[in-house]
Amino acid sequence: MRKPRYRSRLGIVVNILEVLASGEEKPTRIMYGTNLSYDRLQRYLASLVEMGLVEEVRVEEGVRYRITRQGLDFLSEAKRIVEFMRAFGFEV
Amino acid sequence: MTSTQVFVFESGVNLFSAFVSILIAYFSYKASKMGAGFLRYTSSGFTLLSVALTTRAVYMFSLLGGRRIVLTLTRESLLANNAIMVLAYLLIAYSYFKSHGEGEASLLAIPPLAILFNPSIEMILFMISLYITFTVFITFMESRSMSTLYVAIGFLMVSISHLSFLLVILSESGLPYLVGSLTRLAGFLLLLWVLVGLAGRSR
Repeated sequence: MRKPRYRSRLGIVVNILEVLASGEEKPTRIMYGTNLSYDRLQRYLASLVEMGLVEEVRVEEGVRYRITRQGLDFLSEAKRIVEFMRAFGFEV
Repeated sequence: MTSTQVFVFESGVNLFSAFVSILIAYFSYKASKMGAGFLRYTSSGFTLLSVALTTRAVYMFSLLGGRRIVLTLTRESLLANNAIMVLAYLLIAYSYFKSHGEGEASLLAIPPLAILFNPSIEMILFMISLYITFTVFITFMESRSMSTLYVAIGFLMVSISHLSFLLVILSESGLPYLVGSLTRLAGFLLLLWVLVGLAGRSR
């Protein structure tokens, strides 16, 4: 079996948003769900927060992340694009 | 088939293929804007392919008695058109190359129609489209997705059409041309079917 050379940015963003679509999560849970390193995940989360797709929630034990309405809309559109990419034989 | 029918048929197939190409270009563009950057090559490739196919269609229409200036301009642009088509296929192949990683790339009778089909160009287009078909088929072997299989068959048909167009130059009869046009039409119909299926599923 071949290994994809890399996951596209879109593939990673969809992974993160899918994890958050099931509810508010701590960074460590997102890390396990997406198979990303802590630093890489932080960069993605900062970018998603800036884009308004994800929001930070301050809680006693630290920070949690939650998907926004805009994030859910983006995820639904992105899933269609991912299907298109898979149908046309591209690695996502 | 009379010459007029052939010209109308050829124009229709080219316009239809151009329409499907522009749809694929649009989806690829959206994907590239959403983070799959390498798909900008697919988008550019299918846009160029659409331009080349439309130019062919306009040329065929102008043969039916259009304005002389249009006929002259499109005839003069046919050489550039061949180059555009090769570039388009190269861009599409390159996006698959980028998507799957460099390690996988080693696999790497109707007189007016003869003007459209240049043997060297058709051979190049056949080889590139075969590479694209092979890459998509490998993905199907892993994913077992029926949509991917249809896309692979669609590209295979486009490859076969280039092989048939190659035979147009060698053959006295119009059969290779007819086979080429019909297989290309079937190929783009399959690609359109997959796109329509994807659009339908999202609603």
